[in-house]
Amino acid sequence: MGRSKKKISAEHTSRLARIELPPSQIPVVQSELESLLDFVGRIEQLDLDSVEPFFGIAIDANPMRTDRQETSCDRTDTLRNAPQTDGESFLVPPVFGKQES
Amino acid sequence: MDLSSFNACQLLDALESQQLSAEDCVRFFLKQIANQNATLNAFYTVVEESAMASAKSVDQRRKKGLPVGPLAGLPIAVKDGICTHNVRTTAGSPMLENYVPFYNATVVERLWEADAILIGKTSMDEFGMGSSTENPHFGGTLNPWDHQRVPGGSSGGSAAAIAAGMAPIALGSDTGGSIRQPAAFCGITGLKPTYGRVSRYGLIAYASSLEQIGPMAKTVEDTALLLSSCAGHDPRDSTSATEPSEDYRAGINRPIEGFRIGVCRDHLENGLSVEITSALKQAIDIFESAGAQIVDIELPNSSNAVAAYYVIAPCEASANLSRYDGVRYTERAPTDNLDQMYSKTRADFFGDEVQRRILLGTFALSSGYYDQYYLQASKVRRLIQQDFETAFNGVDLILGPTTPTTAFKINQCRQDPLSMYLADVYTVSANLAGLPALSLNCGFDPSGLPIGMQLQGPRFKESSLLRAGHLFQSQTDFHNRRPA
Amino acid sequence: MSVKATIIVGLEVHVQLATETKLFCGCATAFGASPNTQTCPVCIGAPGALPVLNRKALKLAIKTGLALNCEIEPNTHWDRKNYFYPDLPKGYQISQFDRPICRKGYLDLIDPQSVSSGRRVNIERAHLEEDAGKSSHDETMQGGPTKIDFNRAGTPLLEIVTQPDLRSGHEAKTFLNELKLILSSLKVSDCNMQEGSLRVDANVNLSLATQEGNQATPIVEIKNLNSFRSVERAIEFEAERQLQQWNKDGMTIDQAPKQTRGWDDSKGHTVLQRIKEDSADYRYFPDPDLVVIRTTQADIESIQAEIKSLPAERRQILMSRYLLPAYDADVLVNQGDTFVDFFETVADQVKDGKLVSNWLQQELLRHLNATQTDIQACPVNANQFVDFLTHIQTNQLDSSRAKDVFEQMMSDSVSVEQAMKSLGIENLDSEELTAICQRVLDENPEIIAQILKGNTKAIGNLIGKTKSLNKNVSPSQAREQILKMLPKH
Repeated sequence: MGRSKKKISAEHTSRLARIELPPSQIPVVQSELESLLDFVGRIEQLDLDSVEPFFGIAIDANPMRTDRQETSCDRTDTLRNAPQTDGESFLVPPVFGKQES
Repeated sequence: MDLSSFNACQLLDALESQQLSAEDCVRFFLKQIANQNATLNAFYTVVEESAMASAKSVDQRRKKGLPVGPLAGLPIAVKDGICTHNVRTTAGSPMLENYVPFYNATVVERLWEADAILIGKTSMDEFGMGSSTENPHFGGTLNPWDHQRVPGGSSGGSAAAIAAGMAPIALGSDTGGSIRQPAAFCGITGLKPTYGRVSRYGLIAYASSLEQIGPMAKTVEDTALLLSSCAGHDPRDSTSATEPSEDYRAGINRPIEGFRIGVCRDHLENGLSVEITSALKQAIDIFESAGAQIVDIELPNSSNAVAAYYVIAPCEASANLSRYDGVRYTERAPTDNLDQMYSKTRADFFGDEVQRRILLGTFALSSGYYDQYYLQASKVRRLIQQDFETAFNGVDLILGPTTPTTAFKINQCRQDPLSMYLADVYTVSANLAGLPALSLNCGFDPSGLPIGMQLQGPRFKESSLLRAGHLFQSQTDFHNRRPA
Repeated sequence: MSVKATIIVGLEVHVQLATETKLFCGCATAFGASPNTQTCPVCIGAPGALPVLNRKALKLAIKTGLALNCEIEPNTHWDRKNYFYPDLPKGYQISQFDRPICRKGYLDLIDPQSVSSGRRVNIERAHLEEDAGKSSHDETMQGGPTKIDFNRAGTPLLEIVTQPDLRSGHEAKTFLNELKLILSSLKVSDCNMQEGSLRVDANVNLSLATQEGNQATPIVEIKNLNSFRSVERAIEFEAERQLQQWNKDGMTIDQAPKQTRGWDDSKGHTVLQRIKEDSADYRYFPDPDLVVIRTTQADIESIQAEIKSLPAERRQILMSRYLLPAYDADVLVNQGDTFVDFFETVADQVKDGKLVSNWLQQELLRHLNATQTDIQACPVNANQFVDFLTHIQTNQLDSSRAKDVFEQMMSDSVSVEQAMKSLGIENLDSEELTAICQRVLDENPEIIAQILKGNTKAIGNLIGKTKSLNKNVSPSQAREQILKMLPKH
């Protein structure tokens, strides 16, 4: 079917997924992913151009909610599982980093 | 009183007739856990205090003649991937090791309304990704029938807890076989309901379009009992079905005469051990003599089910697990760099298998590959669904194996993910097609390990599966056998 | 090197929809609450929580789409747009990729002040999506942590994307004004730019007619546009900057990556924010937590029926039924529906559209602006205004005093009679007027003589004297009377 058979890059994919791979692990993960793709790739050969995809949900209702306010959660609950907060907001390392002076 | 031989329905009878107090009942199972959990590791969290308090409340209301729920006083174990308000919920992941939800899953809410008593949270493969519950972070769970073997997974803790008599009944969740495969390995009964039958609200997502929460217990009747309290439309879950749910236990004794049971010869004769094939053939005989008609069917696309599953599930997982970024949920790698907050946190606190599936899914969805993988797999999914539709034009249910083997040894599959994936060969189709499927014990192999039989039905025909399963259990006693 | 440069502009407008609650949960969308107090498991992205669509948000999106002449997708669905950012709770945004609720619409621009009147701007799509939370950075830039507030996370947005059909900053501004007018008229959004209810990004580049044929400069996305005026200025600035850049390096669209630049309003220039080396890989796929939403023809018709006249139609009516010039119609319609309603109510009774329009534009608007009130809170109601104008039309109120009377009506919220009374304005009866004129004629023989000699202008002098005898004298009536009483020659 003339599909490009470009290989997976474990390194690029790990960047996309925000999972740091130590350099020594990259070839290991690379070969694992290649063999898995090899396995799932068996379906690539099937000619399914005329088949409608099925995304798993066969519900015919239009599930929607009314625009009515519900009680929000207590902030202490919302924040309590977070690694770092100031009691009001979640805190993360500075988005723009520290400016060089 | 030794309650470990009681099934859930029997316990409930004893509780209702006040021969047994909820407190004694709960105390018994907590003691069972205390005795065995150090060895089996089926529970990550046990909630003694709140369980005893709830039991006391049920007893008091009963004594006063006040109304109580349909499961009043019945202890229940819940898989640790299902959110419980103020009770730690780890999903088996280091990422959520200390996570305490601030809301209840809808099913937990319904169990609470039914006055069932949560006794603890059961072990699992991380985020449900696995078939062995050999969780490297929290420690593996042992199969009560043979401590050298795995209980199956990912709901291995719930299955082991029931098999070992640590809980009479439990909730699991099933994304590609995660209720049925451990049920088969541990010799118990497990039901994956139709997609949309039970609310997913509060089920920590692995692959949203595939998974369902379902009951696990000693008997089919017990699973029917629990399903009745869990099923039904939930406005908080857009994928929840609006079809009315039923009292599944009420109709369970209806005869199955005239039932047409489909058998896929290919699944029965190839790739199975002799013992499994012969156990299934005996089961077929039992159904035939009960008046069912056996019909040969074909499921031509089932050979591609595992491949399609291992595209779709990782794709969905790759997005579902993006929320674990170090901002809101418990763990964060020490760093003052934002990029590293993400990439180190996710490297340090996700296990290997989870990382592998996230990477696989991320790649399959990445620019230029969507059509080749996700879309193609979703088309295979359509074919599989259509195979079933065709088959169910001629039969009421389909009988086959749950697993290609009985419980495998610890460490046997850990080095080779693919061999683990292939263990799902008979179970993933029901998830891909959204159909209900029941696994029950139908015999033992020569090493005394339980063999699982799977019954699959059309959408929302849980009652057919339960009737057939119940009939089987009323004529056999496999479900009553317990590990030594 | 001289080239003819055409500015090519496409806009992306994010409109916050006027719902009480968020797109997929019941948390409030109110602006300005204390951080993280309007959140729940769903909008905070708690493990296990699931989204359920807000029916009103969908309806408002469809309504907007219909007003923008869009096709409404009968089977719309939801996609996950995957990217990591601390204020994006789930690590993906629920958005719409390949089946947006609205597609292929257009908006015709009528700009009476411009020759480019009658331009059609095509709307590529309008899709629903959830907003992200808010990041507050350490303003000292000393490396302090960034604070994340998820109150805004999950707020419903409609992203309206135009085709690159706009050709100047002014045209972009005209488009945005008209869009805002429509959105306000439909009550789809409060369109408050300060609170972020309306956010605009502009994609700008130049098409250059060179000797080697047509070429295009690299596309720049301008962000941080806080007002329509900024949009206009930023586009004009960017066009100039790109032309200079082109003259310097000659880089075309194919040779340089797309840039994102931020507009600095105080400095009046754009600043490079980032260069998109490889276009972001959002890994869109259908959100398995949500189902396809079906919209029937009947649904569409019932929403269509709720849409009253849109601004363009109202301008047409003002011009055809009330005979207003295009300029007047535009000014009135730009004030919003309530103002036009007020005009129509008054003009229907006064039967002189232009008179009503003049008074509304010159006096009423001036007063409302000065007192910072809007037409809803106008101290004079339509009937009182009709009464006022009728007094002018029937000469019961002389136009020389009309402004004073109007001011009095507005400031005291009173009827025309009450205002005239409190200003001491009464109509003289003809006997009184005759007596006053007679007295002036008697006292000023020399002026009469001048008039009789042909200096007719001197009559104004006499009128002035009548007015100083009694300020209620109407100059036109006095003139008429004096002419009658002048000795014949």
